[in-house]
Order: sequence, then C-alpha cells, then structure tokens
Amino acid sequence: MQRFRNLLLIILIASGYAHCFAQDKADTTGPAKTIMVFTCTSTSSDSIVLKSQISVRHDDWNTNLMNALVKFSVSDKDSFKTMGQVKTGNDGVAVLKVPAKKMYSRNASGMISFTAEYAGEAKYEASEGEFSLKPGKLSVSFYEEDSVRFVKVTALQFEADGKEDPLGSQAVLVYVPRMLSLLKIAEIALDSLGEGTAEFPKDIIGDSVGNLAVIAQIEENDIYGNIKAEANINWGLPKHLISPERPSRELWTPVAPLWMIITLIIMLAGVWGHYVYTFVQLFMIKKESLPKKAK
Amino acid sequence: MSSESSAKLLKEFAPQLERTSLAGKIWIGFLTGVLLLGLVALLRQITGGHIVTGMRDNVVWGVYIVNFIFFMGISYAGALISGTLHLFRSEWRKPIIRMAEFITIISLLIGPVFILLCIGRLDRLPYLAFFGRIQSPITWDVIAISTDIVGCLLFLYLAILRDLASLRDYKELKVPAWRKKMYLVLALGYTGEPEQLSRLKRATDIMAVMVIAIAIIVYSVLAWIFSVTLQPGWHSTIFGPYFVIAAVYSGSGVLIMAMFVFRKVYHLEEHITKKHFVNIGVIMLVLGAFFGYFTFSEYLTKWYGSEKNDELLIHILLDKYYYMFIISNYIGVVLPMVVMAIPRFRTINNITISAVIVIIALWLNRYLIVVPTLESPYLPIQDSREAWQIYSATWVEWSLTAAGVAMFCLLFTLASKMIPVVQVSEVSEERIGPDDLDLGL
Repeated sequence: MQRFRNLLLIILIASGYAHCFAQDKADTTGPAKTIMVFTCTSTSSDSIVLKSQISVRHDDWNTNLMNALVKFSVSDKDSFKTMGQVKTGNDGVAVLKVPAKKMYSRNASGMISFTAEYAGEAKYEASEGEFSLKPGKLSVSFYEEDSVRFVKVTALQFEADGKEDPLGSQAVLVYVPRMLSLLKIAEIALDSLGEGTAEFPKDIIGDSVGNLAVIAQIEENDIYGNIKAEANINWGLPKHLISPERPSRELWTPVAPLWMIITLIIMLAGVWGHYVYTFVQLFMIKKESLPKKAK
Repeated sequence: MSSESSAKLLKEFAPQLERTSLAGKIWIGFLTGVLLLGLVALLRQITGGHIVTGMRDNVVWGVYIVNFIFFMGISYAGALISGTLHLFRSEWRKPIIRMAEFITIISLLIGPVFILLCIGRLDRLPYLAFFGRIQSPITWDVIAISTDIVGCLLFLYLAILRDLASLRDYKELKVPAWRKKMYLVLALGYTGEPEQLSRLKRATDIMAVMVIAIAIIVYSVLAWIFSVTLQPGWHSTIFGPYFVIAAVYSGSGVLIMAMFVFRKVYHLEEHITKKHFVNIGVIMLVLGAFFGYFTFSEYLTKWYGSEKNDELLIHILLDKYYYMFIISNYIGVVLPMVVMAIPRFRTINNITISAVIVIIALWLNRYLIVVPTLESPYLPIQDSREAWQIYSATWVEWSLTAAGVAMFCLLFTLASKMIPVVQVSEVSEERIGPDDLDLGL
C-alpha cells in the first residue's frame, strides 16, 4: 500500500510537471514562405506613399513579419534606383513617402514604376512587389446651396514635364470613417475638367460636436493606382452617449442602474453594521475591565 | 474560564511559543530564501516590464490570476469552515479551528498581492477608488475583498482574545518583553467575567454567521468577474456556486495538510486525533462530490450544446491540457472519495495525501478555467504571432508563485509562534451545548 501510494504520487507529480507548459515544439522545416502586398497611393500633400505589408504563410493562416528590411526602388531608364530602406513594424508594414512631383523616369504610358523588395533571411523566403501608377492629386471641398449640402471633388494628374492637367472620367468614392471600417456616402463621376459633386447625407453621426472626417479615394485604378484626399467638416450629427433630455441608467452609462446602487448600499450597510456592533462589544469589554484594574 | 486548566494547557504549548528548534530555524531560513528568490523575480519584472512573463496581447491572464483565485478560495474556505464549526459547537472542532482561522486571514493577505503583480500600471490603481464604476465586477471585488479582510480579522481577533488573556496572565511564559506587552494590549483587559464572556460569545456568534455569508458572497463576486464576460468557458450561470464549492473543497485540503504538519511538528497527537482527520475528510468527500457534480454539469452542457467555441475549448482542454484535465477533474475528485469512502483506507497519512492531491487538482482546475479560455476567444485571434497566442509561464511567474506559497507557510509558522495553534481557552473549558447559541438579536 505504501509503495503503491508513493508510486502514484511520483506519477502525479511527473505528469503534472510535464504538462504545465503548453508551447508547441519548435518547427524544423525550411524557410517559411512570405507574402508581400505592395501598394502606392498619391496623397493631397503632393506625395506618394509606398506601403509594403509582409506576412508569413502558415498552413491556413498568416502572421505579420516584424523587423523585415524592405528596399523601395523607382524605375530609372533600364534599371531601378533605390529610394530608401524601411523596416516593417508590429503590423508587418513598411511605409516610405516620396515626393510626387519629382522627375522620375516614366514608361510610354507616362506611368512610374515602383518596386519593393524583401531579401529574406534564413527563416523566411524573399519576396517582392511592383506597382506602376501615374501620380495625381485629389482635393475635397464642401458647399451648401438652397439648404442642400454638397461635397465637391477636384482631381489633377501630374505629367512627366511637371504640368498638372485635369484628371477626368474616373470614379471617386467618398467615405466617412466609422469604428471598424469606412462607410461609403457617395460615388462621384469626374467630368472632363476633373470635377464632380454629390449630395452630402444629413444623417451621418460625427463626434460629440459634430465634426466629421471625409475621405475621397480613387481606388485600384489601372493608370492612377490609388489617390486619396481627406478633409474635415462640421456637418455630422453630434454624438451623445447619454441623451441630455433623458439621462438613462443602463449598465454601460456613467451612472449605474438604480437597483444596483440600492442593493449594494443595503448589503454593505448590513455587513458593516454588524462590524460596528462587534467593535462596540469589544469597546464595552475593554471598558468593563477598567474599574477592576483601578482596584 | 478555568484558569488552572488553561495554565496547564499553556504549559504544554509554551515551548512552541518560547523557542524555535533548529529544524524550525532551518525551515524559516528556507522559506526566507524562497522569498528572496521571489524578490529577485519581482525586481526583474519591475525593471523588464511584463514582457518577462508569459502574458501577451491575447492571453492576458496567467499564473498570477490563478494564484489569486486559489488563495482567495482557501481563505473563504477557512472562513466557512471555522464559522460553521463555531456555530455547530461541535466538541471535536476545538483543536483545529484556530488553524482554519489562520488559513483564512493569511491567504486573504497573500491573494490580492498576486493581483498587484498582474497589474502593469500600478500608478493607475488609485483610479479604481476615484473613478470606479459600480457596474464593474472589478469594483465589486475590491469592495468585497476589503470588507472580507476586515470581517475575517475581526473574527480571528474575537477567537484569539481569550487565549491572549491567558497568555497575558501566564507568568511563566518566557518571551521577550515586547510580546508580553503585545498580549497585554491586545487582551483588552479581558478577565473572563460573565458579562465580558457574554459579550464576546455574542459578538463571535454574530461574526461567525457574517463570515460565512461574506465568504459565499465575496467568492461569488470573484466568480462573476469571469461569468459576466462573454468568453467561452466563462459565461456560465453556475460559476458562483461552482467557485464556492471548489474553494471550500481546496480549503479543506489545506486544513488537513496544516493539521498533519502541526500535529507532527508540535507533537499534538493528544489533541489532533484521527477523528479530526476523518471528520474533515468527510467534509472533503461531500465537497468533492459536489465539485465533481458541478464540473460534470459544466462540461456536459458545453459539449452537448456543440457551440463552435465551446467545442474548440473542449478540444484544447483534451488536447494540449489533457493530463491537467485528468488530474483536476478525475483524479482530484475520485481519489479522495475512494480514500474516505472505504474505511480501510481512512488513515491519517492517506487522508493527508488525498488532501495534497486535492490542493494540486484544484490549482490545476483554476489554471484550466483561466488560460485555455483566453486561448480560444469568440473573436478569432488574427494577425498575431504564434508565440503570443498560447501561454507558458516563465521563471519569473513560477518564482513569485513559490514566493507566495513560502509567504503563506512563513506567516503560518510565525503566527503559531505568537498564538497557540490549538484554542487553549476552548479546549480547557467544559463543553457548551447548542442551546447556548445566542445571537443577541
């Protein structure tokens, strides 16, 4: 019995120790495959944002690759000229901003080619991406006419000789940022002068004073790539967590539900009341001992 | 109070109060060493940040929270057991109730320390007081634990008051002057007069009822921190009673261990007999049955419902945490029941080993409640490093865990040096029947 008991104890301790840690064993296969997603976006500040996101491919899911060095280059006649090297952050993204109006080499269509390269390392394969675009610029403005609100978008394209020409016959999507993504509020078709307007909805909720950020984008265009502009306007409905006319006591508001407050007070008063009674008894015990001490 | 019989009993317990044996000093030295290791780990954590632990963006709670729940659990168990035994006025409780009271207050002091270790920004802790929301279960827990600490300290003090008076009056006690002064002050001038005794008994009876009620409510609040959240494995309606039962189950194990150790070390064979082990073992048996029932009910409903995330959680439990699951929910339930149910196995040693298994099993049970759920949340973990999606405790966490256990043992040891581990005044008195229960209401 004694031996059996001791053996059982040893088995229990050994198996418990062996399974206190839950990490998987180290992977011993070759370098992992990496996937690069490379995009270029022209902004309203006359710059082009080169963005490269690198992720590592596992069986059925991906994880971001941190601290990977990405080399960004631009086409220069028959070769590519390095513009800069950036390390990816926690989200696996490396970003480089370059001036849009600089004299880059262009192809026959007037497009500039950018590349992003990740050279790889022992654990990860190399990957690269290429993106071609003609730089442009969007600007967003607002106006009101007969109590109707409008958003106006103007688009320009930058030619090889530095001229700025209207960018027409393209679709521009207008968004407002929400909690998890962008909400499309309008789609504008640009005319030949590169201008377009759309009615601005009246029921978009902004911040507590009604400010709204409005984003206009040309997305994944074959020629112009991505062009983005942003502007702020005070046309949103003010957001109230609590209605000023009818303050409520839901669980998520700053003021707790009344039933909860009352219950807590009753319970704590009951408990601490008994404590006070006990302290009084102890005090009386001490007090009753004093005349005897004096004797 | 029979002062002659108290004095006679005190003479028996005086050696454990007056001096520490070589083995005792080595024991205290060992515990101090473990505490120092914990201090090194703590410094590492403070200087290096929480990155030195296994906690990451997804599994934000680990061994610290497990230890917090475990220590609070045995504290509430101590309160429940000591309060219940006090109210029932059973004769057999007298030699062991002091240990239950010590367990209550010592683990109540250690448990919340693990929360402080888990908090990354301790400088923001005052915000809980200044900007606390009554709707938050964390706020409930802070209020509840604070109330419980006061209540348990009061109950302990009421329970040791008569012994303090006996120690004050025992002239042959060879302890330093500061301890004699401490006994004098804390005894509050108690002389055992009928009025004083009546007040003391009334206050103790009331506090015994209060600590039982507070223990149940407070540990239910701790359970609700988990059960009100929308996490697979946590969002359960029976978590409150489940936690309370598990707490008392583990606490009964700790009490049996304490009884075994002190019986051996202080040679209390005359006072703590096999009957005490069997009685607490029966309590452990009943609680083990309830614990097994609640556990079965929890997992049966999850498994049968076939909800996607519940299935994922059960898969993780039976895959990565298989042995932990078996020890916690099978061996930890069945073995003590077998030992206690079969008279032939009911020996002091067997009961103590069962108690140790119960303690280990219940710690693992808390681990299985906290960690696997965080590894399988409703919102899938996306774009996160693999190493951050699973939890594995580091040496810092294990060192601080060991330090917590060492602190528990050290405080228990030191407390037994200040106050006798057996209630001298009660043991020396004549038996009081249940008719004398007076709540003074």
